[in-house]
Amino acid sequence: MSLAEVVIAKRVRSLAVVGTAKNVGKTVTMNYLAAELSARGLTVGFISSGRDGETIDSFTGEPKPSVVPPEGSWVATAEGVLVDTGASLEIVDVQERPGLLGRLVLGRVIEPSPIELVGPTGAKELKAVAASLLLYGADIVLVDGALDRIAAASPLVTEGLILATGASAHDNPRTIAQETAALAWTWLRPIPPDPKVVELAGEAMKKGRVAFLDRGPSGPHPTYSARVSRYETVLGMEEQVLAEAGNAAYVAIPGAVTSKFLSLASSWPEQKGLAVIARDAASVFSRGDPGVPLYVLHSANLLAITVNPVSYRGISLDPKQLVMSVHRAVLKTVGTDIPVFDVVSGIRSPKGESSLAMG
Amino acid sequence: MTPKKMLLVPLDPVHDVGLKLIARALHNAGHETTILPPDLSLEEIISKAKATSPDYIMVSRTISYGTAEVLARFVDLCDASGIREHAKLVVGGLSMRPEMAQEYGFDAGFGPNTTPEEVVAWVDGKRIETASARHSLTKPDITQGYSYAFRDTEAGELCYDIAQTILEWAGNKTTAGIERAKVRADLEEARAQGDESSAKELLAKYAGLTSGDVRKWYDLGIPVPHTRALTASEISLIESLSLESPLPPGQKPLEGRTVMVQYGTGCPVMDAQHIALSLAWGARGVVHFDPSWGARTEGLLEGAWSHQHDGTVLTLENLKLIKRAIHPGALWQVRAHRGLNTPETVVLAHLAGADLTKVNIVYGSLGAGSDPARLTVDGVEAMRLAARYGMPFDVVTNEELCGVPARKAFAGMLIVATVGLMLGGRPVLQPLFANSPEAMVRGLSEDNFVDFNYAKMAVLREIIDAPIWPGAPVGFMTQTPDRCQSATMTALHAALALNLGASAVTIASSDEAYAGGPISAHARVDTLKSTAAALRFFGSSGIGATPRGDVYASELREGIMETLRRVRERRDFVAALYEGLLGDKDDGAYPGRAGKDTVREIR
Repeated sequence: MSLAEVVIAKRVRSLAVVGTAKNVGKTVTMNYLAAELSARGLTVGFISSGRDGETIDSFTGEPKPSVVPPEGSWVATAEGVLVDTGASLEIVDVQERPGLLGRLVLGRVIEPSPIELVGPTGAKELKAVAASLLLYGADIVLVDGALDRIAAASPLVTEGLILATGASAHDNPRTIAQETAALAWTWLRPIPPDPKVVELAGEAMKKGRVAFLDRGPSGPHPTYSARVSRYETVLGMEEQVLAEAGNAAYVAIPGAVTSKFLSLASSWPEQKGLAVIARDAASVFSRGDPGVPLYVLHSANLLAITVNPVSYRGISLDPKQLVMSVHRAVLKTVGTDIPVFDVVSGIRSPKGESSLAMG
Repeated sequence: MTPKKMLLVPLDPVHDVGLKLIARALHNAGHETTILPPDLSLEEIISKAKATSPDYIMVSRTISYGTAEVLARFVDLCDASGIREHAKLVVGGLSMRPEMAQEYGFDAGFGPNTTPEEVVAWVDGKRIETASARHSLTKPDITQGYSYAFRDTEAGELCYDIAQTILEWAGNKTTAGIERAKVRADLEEARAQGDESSAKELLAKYAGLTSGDVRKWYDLGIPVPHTRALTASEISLIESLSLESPLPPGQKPLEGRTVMVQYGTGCPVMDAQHIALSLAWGARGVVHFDPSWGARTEGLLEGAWSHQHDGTVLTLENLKLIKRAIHPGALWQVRAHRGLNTPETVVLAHLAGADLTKVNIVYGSLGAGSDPARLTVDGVEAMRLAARYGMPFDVVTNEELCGVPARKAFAGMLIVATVGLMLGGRPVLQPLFANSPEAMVRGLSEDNFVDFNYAKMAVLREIIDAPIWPGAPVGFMTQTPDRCQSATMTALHAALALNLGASAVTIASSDEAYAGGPISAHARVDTLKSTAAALRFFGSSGIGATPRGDVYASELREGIMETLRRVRERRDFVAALYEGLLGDKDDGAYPGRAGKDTVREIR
């Protein structure tokens, strides 16, 4: 299966492309997907969660690939960039709330040409704009993440995600593979197996408070009770929160979960076996297995990984080797067969290697 | 306005001064502000933000390695923690730009030169004053408020006596230059009225009054060497120029100051670009420079021309094209001061809508190659026309560059200005601010470039209550091919002039004397930026001369008076010019020969 076929098979209506660093090929992946999905008769929508398709990187000054939405596709972008594009849009909506580069304009591409995408930066707005494009007629909305920002890939915002990685992140394919695997580990966190736990954790999160779930007297069907704390966040008060954990089986955290909290939790002397429940992977600011069980209330749908074997710093890695090492590392670390693609060379990871995970 | 809760976060341990200034402005505007200490981790900052529920979180950060990642992570943490739903995220710092802030996921980004007031305005829901802010210009009148009374009564008597003899001498004389000016005015009037037969007749009459290459063009249609007609697409380039532009950061010190720049690349299209650029960077007006052959040839061309060499061809069409690039609030000077087409140039300047012109009989005669008798007759007529059109004119003293000492050049300037006053005009004195040959030879600038320039300003103000506009441009002989050095010298001369009370100042671009071709755009911006910086630096502190400055001033004043007395004694201004009383061969001044023996008496 090609990357486009993977996306179609998973039936997602919105998809975020998230990078492990800058210039790892998010835009190239977007353009590839747009072309392939359009060729298969799907109408694509485009949003950037920051800024995308600009010709020069505002940070490094390096040239960047253009975004060229196909004819008939839908885009959301700031009115301020429309003067510089050759693309013609049929504008259907203008959102009055002004952003940095003017109001947000929703439109359908009449005449394709490179266009800069400037989108809403907050997760909540992104979701609303994606929903609008779907209503107007897009079959699938592609959301380009900015930099290595992850908010757009939250399952509360988009239905699926693709991780983009490559030589811009590191020079060494082994390091790239390991870091990507660690990131995939986070994005593949499962929902707690016990529905009662899910329900209690969900209620606590709605209150916006850190909550502990204590296991009741042991029996064939474990029971849980929630102990809601006064903490709204664990940030900056990791130790205080853990000190109140007592004998809790789970701690449900409504906001950001950082590596500092996870590593403290894993080595907290009084509490062995405490599991952490985050809202979703976009709330987890830690890469790789922290040594403490980590669950999410909303699981993400990691469809694929793309690799870019070249970087503007002059690094050019062997695409096949990079695809293989990333695929193998993810399989080994998470035990899941996530397909890996280099969309430029067309190289993809082989299927049916899941047996390796057992070994 | 509802007071807002502000959390100000220095993510940069060193550079949080800007944040403190912004915090103070927000506090003064009635908002509740909290500044966090500079050494907190991102997690601790989020924790504080959770605890205080601010409406705005303002982060300051200087760009360095890893900044993009830190800022992006901060925004993701805000999103994950739910802070984003209630608070707007703002980032500011040196090298921050709105598009970077957008990329990192902030709601707003403020770069260097943002004033605290701009941030307050944004918070209060007013438009961000960046790209939308317009640099508003209103046209200054640099002659306003001057009585033109001689404070030195003896100097006044001398000048009026001499001016009277000039007017009497010139009163019964005319030249082809004066006749052409009249024909041109009538011709353009006939064209405006659609009177084609009169226009045709007048055009033939005009052509008959021309000579040399200009005559060849009128008679045979042969273009003047090194010129070609502008194309329609070139003309449309000028039309597409946008005159509205924000004043760039750091250029505010130029606001309210009349800093003029010169243009005359030869090509009206390039001139238009340079004018738009210069005005955008804070210049208050522009001065048109024509090619030097225009001073030596009888007659001016018609039509829109590009000229291969320096100096933009003077025609009504060229001027009207260029006018389109001049902001309505900017001053426009078309110089007419030195050659055989001086009166007609004033006519064209008026017809094209110029604000100012430039006339000096003495400089044109001794430093620019025009015959003294011819230019005296033409100069008087030019000043009469300028007075009729209500167009002030400066009286330049660039003969100093030939080596004429300031005492003679200033005497000449005061005489010509007085003629202008007697004709009802509004002259502006234009002392040279430079390291003149006189200053070098006499060692007046050995220690500094302030004393002698200070003396020039002081003396002129002691003698007469008239506007002073040093130029043109300032800084001659102090600049080198080094752009930084050149821009600095220009800026300091300009700042000195304005600090000493000059009504205006003309500056050059940093490569003007050395370009060997058209002036580059960045060289223009160099000097405007440098001048803004110098003005910002000195503010109203004043720049002091050493005690030598007053010594030079009294010497100069005595020298001017002595020169005036000698010219009056001669009782013949033109003879005084030929004989070198206002600059002789030893000084480096030679009476010009262009237009010699072309003055006719009117019967």
